[in-house]
Amino acid sequence: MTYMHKVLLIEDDEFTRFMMREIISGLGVEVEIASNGDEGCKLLEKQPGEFGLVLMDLHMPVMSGIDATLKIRNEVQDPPSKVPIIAVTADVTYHNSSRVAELGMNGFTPKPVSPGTLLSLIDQYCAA
Amino acid sequence: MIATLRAIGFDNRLGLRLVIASLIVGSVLSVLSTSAQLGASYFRQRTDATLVLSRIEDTLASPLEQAVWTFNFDQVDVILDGLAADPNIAFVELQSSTGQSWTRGDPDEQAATPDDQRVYELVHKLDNNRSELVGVLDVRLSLDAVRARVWAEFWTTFLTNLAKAYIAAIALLFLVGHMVSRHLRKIADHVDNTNADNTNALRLDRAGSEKTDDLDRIVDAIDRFECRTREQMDALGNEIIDRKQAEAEARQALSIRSQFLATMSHEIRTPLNAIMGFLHLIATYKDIDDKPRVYAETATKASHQLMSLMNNSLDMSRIEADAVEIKMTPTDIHSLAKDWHQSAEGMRHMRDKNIKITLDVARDLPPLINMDASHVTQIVSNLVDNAIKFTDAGEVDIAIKNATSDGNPAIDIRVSDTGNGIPEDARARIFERFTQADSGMLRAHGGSGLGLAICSELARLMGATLTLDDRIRDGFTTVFLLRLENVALVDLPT
Ligand SMILES: Nc1ncnc2c1ncn2[C@@H]1O[C@H](COP(=O)(O)OP(=O)(O)OP(=O)(O)O)[C@@H](O)[C@H]1O
Ligand SMILES: [Mg+2]
Repeated sequence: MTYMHKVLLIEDDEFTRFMMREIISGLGVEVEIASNGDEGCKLLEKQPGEFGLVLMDLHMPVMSGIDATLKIRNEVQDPPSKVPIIAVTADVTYHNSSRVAELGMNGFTPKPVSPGTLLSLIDQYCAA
Repeated sequence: MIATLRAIGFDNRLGLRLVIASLIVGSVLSVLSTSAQLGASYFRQRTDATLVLSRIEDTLASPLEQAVWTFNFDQVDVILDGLAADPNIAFVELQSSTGQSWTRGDPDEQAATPDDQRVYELVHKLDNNRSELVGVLDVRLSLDAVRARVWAEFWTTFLTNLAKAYIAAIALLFLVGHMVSRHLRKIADHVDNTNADNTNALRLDRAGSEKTDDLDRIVDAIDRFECRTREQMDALGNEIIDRKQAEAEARQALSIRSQFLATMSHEIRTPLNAIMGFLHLIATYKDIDDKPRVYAETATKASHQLMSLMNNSLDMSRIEADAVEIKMTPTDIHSLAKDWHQSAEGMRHMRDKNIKITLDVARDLPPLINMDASHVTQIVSNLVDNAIKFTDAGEVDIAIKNATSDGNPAIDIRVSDTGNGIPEDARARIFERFTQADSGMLRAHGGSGLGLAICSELARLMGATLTLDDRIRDGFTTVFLLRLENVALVDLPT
């Protein structure tokens, strides 16, 4: 399977970031990483239309995943970003589709993320 | 008017009873004292009257004898008139030896019952020591006049005495009212109104006196009693405050401990997850040798165990810290059940079990039900994990059906398996923490023994019930039943 789009991984924990990047790239998908919401927004602005999926940690320093989502949905222009955002969190209060939808996200996946879950998410959003 | 009467004690039964008693006693006493007074007066007058009779012997006998002897009848009349002038002398009769007779008073009237009667012999002494009887004097005494006088006095005396007694009784009522009753009422009011907020000491408005009387003793006793009570109340209050504080501290300590545990478990999971990810990368690395691959796979299994331990510890401490948030939302249970089935397959794969996993969802379930999907999922996956763990052959079944509970719609979720079952004596304990059926508190296999404790706590928080179903059938050996209550949607989502 070939993937057209890149995955943006926004995650503050260094080891987790590295591990997830290895797994995703092992699936043959290009990955860009950011260690907080602010960095993630900048990457999105620089490469409009490149990303097929954002995996967003919710609790992060500098800018949280919730604030970053708000910014992506409202401020990141050209084009007004409709990129799918999946919340990745261990916080069970966000393990609820309508809750994350209210926040402007497309879904959630509980942390820790298994490789199988990653594969199915990428299949869903990044396929050609 | 009424107020004045009340002030002096007319409205109090005690005063009235005292007055009635003193009126009765006063009446009896006035009768007695009047009788005594009048009796004394009567006896005195009677003695006086009798004395007159005795004196006749000494004073009148000799002149009368002389007058008769000398035939001086004028003198006889004078003497007899003088005698009869005494009001108590009712009848006088003189018979001379020579046949003359004189009478004074009415003989019939007094003849029957004279109160006293004296008969004097008038004797004339001759020279030669002889004597000769000259006449006989009969004097009769009547006390009728005395009696009439005394009787006439009786009523006036008695009525005065009675009046005195009654006046004394009324005065007593005033005095009792002033000196006793009003104080008793004040004491009663005081005792009635004393409570934790009103702690004024009891003080009576009385004229000062050094000598203590009964009222002073009552006041002192009440004072001391109130002091004691207050001290005891204070001690009790302090104890309650202390206990509450200790309780709050204990609760805070527990909550701090739980929070610490929750934070630690959460923080441990992040690096552990990275470790598990890299172990996965190693195990699936394309050119890897068999040995390191097996090592990585084994390390993965151990990490899974550690992860589930951390998850359980995190959940338990969240429950203990009251940090579990229950959120009921309209949920599509049909698609949720498919997720459960899928993750059960994953667990079966993880545990390398060759068993069948079946899903049986009733067709008549409502499309959306009100439930906390993530917590129900957590409970079901715990039950399914146990079922797979303790079953080596046969099947694990997840069944979802409609039910009613107290007339309200409910949903029954059954997780059944054909495993080794739970011994009768262990059934009661398995929902307790750190408990495994085969060894009680000592854990015989991997696992913390927290899974079912967490499940039943979560169920309780959701208003659901988790039980071990006794009605084992269809070849299943263990059946857990999770009943979700209040599943009806209150307002349909738009
Ligand atoms: N389906 C089952 N069949 C047989 N025994 C069971 C089943 N489910 C639970 N038990 C018994 O109940 C005990 C308690 O279960 P619980 O889930 O609380 O702890 P655990 O599975 O041993 O550990 P943990 O879930 O914390 O990893 C188990 O150890 C087991 O003895
Ligand atoms: Mg268990």
